[in-house]
Amino acid sequence: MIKVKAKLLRENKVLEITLDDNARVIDLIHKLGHTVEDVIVLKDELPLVEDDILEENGEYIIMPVASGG
Amino acid sequence: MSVKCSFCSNKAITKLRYAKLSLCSKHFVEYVEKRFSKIISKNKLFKNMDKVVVAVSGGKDSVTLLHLLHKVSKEFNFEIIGLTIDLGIRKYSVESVEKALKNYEMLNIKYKVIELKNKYGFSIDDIAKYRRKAGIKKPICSICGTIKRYIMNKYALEIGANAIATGHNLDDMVYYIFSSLYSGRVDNLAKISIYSPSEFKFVAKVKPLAYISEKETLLYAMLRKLPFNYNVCPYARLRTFHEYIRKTSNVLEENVPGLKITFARMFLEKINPILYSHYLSEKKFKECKICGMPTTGKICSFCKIKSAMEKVLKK
Repeated sequence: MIKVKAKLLRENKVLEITLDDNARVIDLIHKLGHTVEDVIVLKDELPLVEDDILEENGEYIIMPVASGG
Repeated sequence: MSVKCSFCSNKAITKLRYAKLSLCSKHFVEYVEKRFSKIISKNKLFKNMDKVVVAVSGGKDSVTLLHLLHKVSKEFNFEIIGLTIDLGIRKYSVESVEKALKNYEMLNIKYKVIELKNKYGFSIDDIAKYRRKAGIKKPICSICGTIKRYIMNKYALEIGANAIATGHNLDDMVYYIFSSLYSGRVDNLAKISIYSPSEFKFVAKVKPLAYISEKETLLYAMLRKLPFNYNVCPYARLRTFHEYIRKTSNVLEENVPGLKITFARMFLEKINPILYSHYLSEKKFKECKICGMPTTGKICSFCKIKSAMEKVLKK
């Protein structure tokens, strides 16, 4: 199992999430109740692809796509 | 392990499942720009047009639209005039207008800002506060939409523009189609189009982002480091039905990549033209008795809202 931090940009909240070894970005997205179309996941200011493997203790920013403007 | 770009050895920043492509920043930006230009050419969106009003709220979609249109305006030979409406929604409007202006200045584009409160005496915040007292039954987002369409059309008419371009994206189109089907509003279905020609005192309307998803416009704005307001309109939280449709269409898209584009394209290319010829082509418009703008009744929806608000705000 690995642990990662997910910073929810709109809620301004940080969650610690536990996922299986070799978990991918899509697993984190699903764990947070989203689909790949709902959010952009960033690491070190760069967007990630849903198939990228997550890093142990990695910090990820979750940016919702919908603006509702 | 990270995913590589389909066109080079750089790390991919997005996967476009509908196109079976993983793209790096550079190739994603190029891909969106090429697709945008192709959508314009294929649909002949700016044929014989020399002046186009671009509605820029300051959000990611309209800012992306402005930059993409600026890139193709020379190729398609038209001038861009930016239009920003200050709706008077607390801090949200202040930040939105500020972002819109930054983009106009970056691109050296002529623009106009219309302040709802200064020009017409009421703001969206006033409507939110007093609309029940004023006897206005429509939801706030619907009233805001009526007001924006009225001001955009009036301004475009005044300056002799050929069209108004708006930043409606693929997700907006999917929502409009679904919600109009759901409520059986055939008139509304007939109006949903990537290009609505000018008629009577309506200036043509163009939606060049209709096949580009909300996620793609956000990525484009981020990667190009464009200034935009990322905050959500405080009244958008009231749109729960809209949120359900958006969520559901995204679940479908994840399971069937390309579903949103196919759904929108099939509707716009095959179903809408049939509906349009039956339900809209014979619609008779006349001038509003108060402002002279087009309406199907005696008084247009905007003037009804304005006079209802005037009565409440005078008290």
